[in-house]
This record gives sequence, structure tokens and C-alpha cells, in this order.
Amino acid sequence: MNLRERLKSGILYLDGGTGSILQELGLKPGELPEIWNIERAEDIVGVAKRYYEAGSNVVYTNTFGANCLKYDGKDGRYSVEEIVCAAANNTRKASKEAAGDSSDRYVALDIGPLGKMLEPLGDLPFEEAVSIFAETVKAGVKAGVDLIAIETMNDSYETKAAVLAAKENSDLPIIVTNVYDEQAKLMTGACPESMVAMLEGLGVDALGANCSLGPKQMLPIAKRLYEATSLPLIMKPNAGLPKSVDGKTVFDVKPEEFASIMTELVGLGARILGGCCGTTPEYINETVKVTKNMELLPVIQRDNTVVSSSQEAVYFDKRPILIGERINPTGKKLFKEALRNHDIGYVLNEGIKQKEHGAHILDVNVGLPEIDEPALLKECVEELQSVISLPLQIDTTDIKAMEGALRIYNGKAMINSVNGKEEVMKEVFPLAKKYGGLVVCLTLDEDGIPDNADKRIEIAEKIIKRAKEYGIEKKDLIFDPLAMAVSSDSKAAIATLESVRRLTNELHVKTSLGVSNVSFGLPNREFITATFFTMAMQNGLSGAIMNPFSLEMMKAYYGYNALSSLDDNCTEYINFAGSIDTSQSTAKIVAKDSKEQYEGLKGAIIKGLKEEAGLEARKALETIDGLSLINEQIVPALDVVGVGFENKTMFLPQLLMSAEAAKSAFDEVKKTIAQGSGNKETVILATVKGDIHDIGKNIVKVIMENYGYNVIDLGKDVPPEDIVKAAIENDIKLVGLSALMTTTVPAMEETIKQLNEKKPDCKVVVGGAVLTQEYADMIKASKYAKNAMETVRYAEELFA
Amino acid sequence: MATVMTHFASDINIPVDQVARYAGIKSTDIPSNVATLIDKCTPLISNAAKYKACYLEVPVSISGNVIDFDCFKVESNNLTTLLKGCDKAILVAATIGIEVDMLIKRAEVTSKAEALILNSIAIAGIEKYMFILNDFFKKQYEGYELRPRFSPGYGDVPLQHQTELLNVLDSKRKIGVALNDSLLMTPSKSVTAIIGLGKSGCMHIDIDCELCGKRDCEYRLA
Repeated sequence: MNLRERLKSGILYLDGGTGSILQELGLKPGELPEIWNIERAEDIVGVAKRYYEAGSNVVYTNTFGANCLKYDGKDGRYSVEEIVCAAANNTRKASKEAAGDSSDRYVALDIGPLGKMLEPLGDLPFEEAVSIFAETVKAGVKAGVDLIAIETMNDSYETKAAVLAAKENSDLPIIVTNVYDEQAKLMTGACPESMVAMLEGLGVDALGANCSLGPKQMLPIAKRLYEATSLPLIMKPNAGLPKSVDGKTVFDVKPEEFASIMTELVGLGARILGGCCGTTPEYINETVKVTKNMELLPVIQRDNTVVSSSQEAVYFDKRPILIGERINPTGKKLFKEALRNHDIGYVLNEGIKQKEHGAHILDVNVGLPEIDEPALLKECVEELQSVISLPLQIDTTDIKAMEGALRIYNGKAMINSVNGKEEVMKEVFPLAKKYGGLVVCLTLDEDGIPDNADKRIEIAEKIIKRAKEYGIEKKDLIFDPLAMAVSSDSKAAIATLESVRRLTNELHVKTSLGVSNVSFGLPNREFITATFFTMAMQNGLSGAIMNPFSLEMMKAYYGYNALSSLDDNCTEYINFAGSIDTSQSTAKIVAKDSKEQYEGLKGAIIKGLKEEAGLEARKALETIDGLSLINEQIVPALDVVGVGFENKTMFLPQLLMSAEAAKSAFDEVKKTIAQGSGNKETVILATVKGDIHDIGKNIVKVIMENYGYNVIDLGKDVPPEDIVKAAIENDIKLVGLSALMTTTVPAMEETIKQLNEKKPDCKVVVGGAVLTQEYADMIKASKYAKNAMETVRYAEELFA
Repeated sequence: MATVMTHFASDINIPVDQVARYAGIKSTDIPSNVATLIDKCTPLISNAAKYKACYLEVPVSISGNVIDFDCFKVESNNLTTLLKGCDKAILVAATIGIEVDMLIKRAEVTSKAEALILNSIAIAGIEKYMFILNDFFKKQYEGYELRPRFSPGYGDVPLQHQTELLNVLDSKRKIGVALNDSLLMTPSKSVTAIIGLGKSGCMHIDIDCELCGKRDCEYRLA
């Protein structure tokens, strides 16, 4: 029996903790335990031997922190390869020397987290994480380990990086355990179901939980993992919580109690058992004693159609799933404009709004002929997944863009799409197999879109067969039988609906439709689309690519659920219906300062009321033109706030709230006048290299925009070269730089130096928590601005 | 040597006046629209916050201006003064958790004003948690007097010591606190501290700010 089969057959025991044992042997806090593989090899062999003798089948190498960040082989430090090789030798030696039968013993390459946070929350790029893990994996393979154990991962993204590295550099079985807290979440928010979706998609061999909790607290997590997964379940809990008793650390769950709760975990589906912090060979021995003859729950092939994000899993089941279609430039002027201007904020806003309107998944399509789609799609996916918890549907025909996005996606994505054409399947299915994903399958082929259901079913059958050859199961396919315009073919909708029904009932697959096509060419399209949507749901539709901002569509969705017993007590319908506000009147807004009283739009801006400012602007625009509104109301209102801020009668939050209210008024004006209302100068803002805090820079940005400046926002952690390049390309006269920490001021100094050399007519204004006038002078900045208003005033002076 | 221990807290009551202070309100009256925004944002932070800390008791021996914590050494006049008379110290790292960072990042997209307020609530929250931890340590170390907390980057202690401090505390594994190459912590609302434990002759300093050389700090107390 090979090890992959062994993982699935019968109970398997892992080892327990090593940290506390090594501490007893003299390891100090902060000391690198992996060095002991070389310098105190006998101690390491000894610990492993005790575990094998206690009944562990698998003992992890002492390589938890063995990565090239810590072991770079330079300046007398060991290299990863040296450490991993010694560690594997130690464990293998122990497996041979330990008393008892050694035939069912294995050596696992232990891989723990890197100790750094991945981008965008931290500063470690995803691909760099993959290559760091790859070094360790390669060393392990060379050292001849039997399997790879990725453990103690509290971030789903880092987990994915480690698994990819393992897959790309070995054929060994991979087992993965994550750290859940008592709310059954990873530190970065993933839940058991989302981890199962992602890890199964990536093709690991077993999964589960370790560390952080005692066995008792792991019971609910084991239950959820078992109910979601088709893989063998691993449980490796701590010996409870550490307590300090007379200066010594003790764990509050003793070996017998530990073992007895482990039997409960087995009862919930666990079959690969071990221990983590505080557990010793005695814990494993006790566990083996009481569980070895237990009847195990089977490893069940679950038939779940599921996608996931970094936080949640979305199942395609009875309730229809709403896939928001708004992140797509087709037919949207503003969106196209935003993509061309590289305005990622616009894309993010569309995403957040769709979530607020009830979307479950977001379609992401950024294809425009004139842009670099692979780069932009990757960037949009990275940014979207860092602010929105919904799973994404990667929508592109550019295979390079698709792979790039799937690779960095933090979860199991929906993939849009394949169809019955051989060349398309040949390109897309290998990606789906490698990265995991739920593949949208359009029922068209080389001959085009069939006009009848029979032929569409035939194409679907062909796709299912071909997917299987690539190792992709039916549950990971979702079929789109294509909605066609009923205005050009009166039978189009009927054919599509019949296809949905037959796909559901005969082929037992999930279905999805881009529903709005059906109303193409008709007036008041939403009326037809929403009715079609209802009919499709009635015929079994599992998901729809649709517009969540459409009230008609949302009415259809909530109404259908309520009528189909998919909404207990009609709760969601009632919430939805109650949220529809048909009146749009506002009470009279009055803002006062010491001298004057302001009403209407001016009042709304001064009081910082965003929605009211928009409404007031719309009202005012009925009688006066946009430019007059700006000059007579918006700008004077902003000035009241700006002066208030400078005189310290108003403060930063108010300045920002007013700026946002003014922006929503500006947006209304923009709808009525042609592009290019902001005809002031263009400036660049950036947070310097090494610095990831950008709240200050963002505040300056919003205020500058309010005063009419075009702001090129280069973001945070921006290298000096990039700033110089952008300044030259756009012939910029003013750059604003922000830094939070003393450690990043040198990067600011370097940026100024390079700007002075290569773009000498460009002034640099600096700000940020650590900056002072002295600092600014020292690094030769043109101006130190203490806050956003000072930056605006400086710009006004400069461009006067 | 003792082991690194962990501490968790929830339902921390965040003082509104502190939130306002961090948001840049330099007046005792909080403008009503700002107060409304604080009320709206506070539950968002409470839901996202996971207050966690890890700490380790270490011995202290001082010679000249070098303090030896057994696991690492610090050269500093400020810290030497502060730890005089202490035979041990607590090293601690605490955080409000990474989900708060995600929440603030999301707000940056939708509303900068909200982002500012969320940011201020989070700072006030982690500061409050540090006070809670301080009380917890007071109980744990009865008979000792706790010195004001001090961090790498304060006074003449280089920020570089953050690396050793977090490494000794195994903070990434215990509570998810990591350092980036510029020595900034993630989650961004995280705090480290060295707290001296003295038997007698403890200096009485209520406000940390008095120890700090940055006289022109916007947030300086008294």
C-alpha cells in the first residue's frame, strides 16, 4: 500500500509537541530550535524515537521554522538544505532505531508559517512566499522524506502559497492543518468550509486542525470539517491551555483526559491523530491505547458544488446564488474610463456596493482591447479580495490573465469559462485542475450556439466527459445553457429554460445563466429579465450572473425564495421589503457657525451629510447649471470648513465628512456636464517605500481632489524609481510624500534625491507622523505640511 | 526560564473621548456629526476586534547602561533609568487583530471619514487593552510595582530591538503579530512593551509621555 492509500485506510497517528520538550532540554525563548538538528542531533533523534515508540506512525522533522529567511547559508549561518537534510536524517534514524515494527512509520517534512504577513496586509509578496516554501520543499525531497506536513497555518493565503510550492516541487502526499480559534476561524478570517473548498481544489491529501485549542474546543471544528470534506480528517490539538504554576509551565489537559476527548474527535470523523503544544509521547501513547480499535467514520465523497474566498464558502444548493455582473466594462462608459485611468478604487467600490445589495459572488471582468489584461486582472483580484469577503468569478478569455488571477486568488474561484470547443477545454481544464475552481461551461461549440435544448445537453455531456479526463469532477462544473434575446427569436427563452431543467434533472449538474441577455433589444429590459429570472429559478437554476442594483431582479429573487420555502419565516423578504425606501425627501438642513447660518447644499456639505448633499445638489441642478453650483455653493461651503479647520474650530473628521459630502455633490454635477471639470493641475501622492500605512496620504488625496486637483495616487510602499518615472511621464510639478516611521524616512530622502536629479522643476511636499520641520529640511524637501489643508494651501501658492 | 503565555479579551469598552482625541478633535465637545459617526463605527470595531496578547517574564540584570534580559540585551540610558531596582520584567506584545486592518482598508474605499474614525477607535481600543493587561499583571505580580511600559523606538532604544522582542515572544505564532522589513507590525494596531517589575523605590510616573523626548508630539499628554 502506498502512503496516499494508507492515509485513507485505517487510523493513523502523528507525533505530539516538541517545543516544550526541547525547552526542558535547555532551548531558550527566541533560540532557533532547528539548529539542534545539527548541533544536538542526538537530542532530536531521541525525541523522535520516543514518539515512534509511543505509537506515532508519522513523526514530523524538526523543521517548523526552516526557511531561507532564517537559514540563508550566509555569514556562518546554516542553509535550509543543511538544516532540512540533518533533520530528515535524524527522524529517519529514529524511525529505524525505535523499538517495535518500523514498517508503518513515515517521516514528514514539517513546514510551518514564515513568520511574516503576506501582502496586501503585510509586505511579503505571494510569489516570494511560494519560492521560500519551494526551497524548503526541494530540500525535503532531496533528503528523502515520505510526505509533506504543512501545519499551524493561520492565514489561508500563506497556506495556499505553501501548498502550491509543495505541488510544484514534489509528488509527495501533502497534509495540511490550520489554526482555528474558538469561533472556528483562522486569524485572517477563513472558516472550516472555505479552507476545505480551497485545499480540496488544490489537491491536498488530508486536512484538519492543529495548535491553539485543546481537544475539547476542537470538537465543533472537527464536526464542521468532516461534514464538508471528502478527505481524511486530521486533528492535532494542544494539551489545553498553558498555565504558570510555581514558575513552571503546565498544560491543563492531562494525557488520559486528552486521549478520552480524542475518542470523541474520532467519533466526529477524525482518523489522523496527533498532538501539538504541551503534548508529549505519553499523550500519544494514551491516545493510541484508547482509539486504535475504534470504528472510524468513512471518508465520504461529498457532492458539494462550492466556491470560496479568504473568509467564506458559497455552496450552490437549493437557494439560487447571485453573481454580481457590475465589474465588467461592457457597455459602461464610466467603468471603461476608470480602467483606462487605472482607478482601482472605482472597481473596489462597485464590488462593495454589490455586496451591500446582496450579491453572493462577484464576477470580475476587466478586458479592454487597449489595456494589459493579465496585469490589471491580477491587480483587481488582489485588491478586491483584500477588502471584500465574497468569492470571485474570474471572467476572461485571455488564458494568461486567467492563470495569473487563479494563482494569486485567495480561495477556490469560479472560472468563467469553458465551452464545448476542444481548444478552449485544452487550455482551461489544466488550470482548473491545478488551482481548483468551479468551471462555468457554456453549451456552445465549434458550430456555435444550438437553437434547441437537445444539442445543448449533448455539448454538456461532451464537456463532462472531457473534464473527467482532466481529473475534474462533475460537481466542479456549472453549466450555462445561454440566454438568448427573445426579441429576435420568440422561442429562445423556452429553449434555455428547457435546457436548465434537463441539465438539472437529467445530468444532475448545477446551472447558471447570464440572465439579462434575454431582454436585449426590448424596452424596459428589467421587466422581462426579472420574469425570465423567476422562470429560470422555477426550472432549477442554481445561479445567475445579474445586476444586484436592479430592484426588479432583487424583487424576483427575494419573492422566489419566500414562495419556494427557501426563506424561513420570510425573514429575508421582510428585511428586503422594509429596506426599500420610496420617499426621497430630506428635512431642512441648517448648519451654523458663529457668524452665519447655511442651508441647503451648503448646509449639507458643512455638516458633512453625504446623501443629503447628493440630493440637494440634484434638486439645485434643476434650476441652476453645474458650474454655478460649484462656484456659488460647493466651493464656498468647503472654504467655510477649510477655514474652520485652520482656525481649530473644526477638526479632521469634519473636514473629511464635508469633503465626502462635497464629492457626492460633485458627482451629481458631473452627470450634467461634460468630462474634464477638474482642470486644475495634476499632482502625485505616494507613501514611500517600506511604509504600508496610507491613511494620512488618503486624507490628503480626498481634500486635494475636493479643491479640484487631479491626483495620481501611486499607493503605498512605492519605490523611488516609480515615483520619478510617473513624475516625468506626466510632467508633474508637485509630489506629495508620506511616511509614518523613522525607518522609512531614508526612503523619502532617496526619493527626493532622485526627483531633484531627474525632475528638478518638481517640488516635493512631505508629511506623516514622524516628520517635523527639521526632518523635512534635513532631507531637502521643498515643504513640510503638517496636515491636509497645509498641503492644499501650498499647492495653491505654487500654482497661483 | 518561563514560557510565553497568552491572554485574550473581548468586549472592551472603548472611551469615546480617547477616540475623539486620536481623530484630531482638539476640543472637549465632540461635534455631533462626529459623535454619530463614532457611534456607528464602534460596533464595527467591536465585531472585528480580537484582543490577544503574549508575554514572557524575564530576568533583568543591569551593568552600566546595558540591560540583559537573558534572551537579548539592550543598551539604553532611558531604559536603564526606568528599570533601576527591577530584578525582572515582562515582555509583552498585544494586538487588536488583523480583521480590524481589513475593516479599515475597506472603509478607505468607501469613506475616508469613516476610515479615520475606525482607525481612531482601534487605537483607543488597543491602548485600553494595554491598561487592562497592566491591571492583569498587577494582580499576577502582587508585591511588585509595575514600571511604565516602554517599547523599542521610545527614547534612545532603537526600534531594531522589536525584532528580538517579537522573536522571543514567538508573537507570529502565538497572536499573529509579524514585523515587516521596515519594522512595522502587522496587524497595524499592535503594541509591544517592556514592563519592569520593581520591589521598592519605584518611580511614580503616571503618564508615559513624560519619558518621551518628542516634545512637539500632537498627542502628548499634559
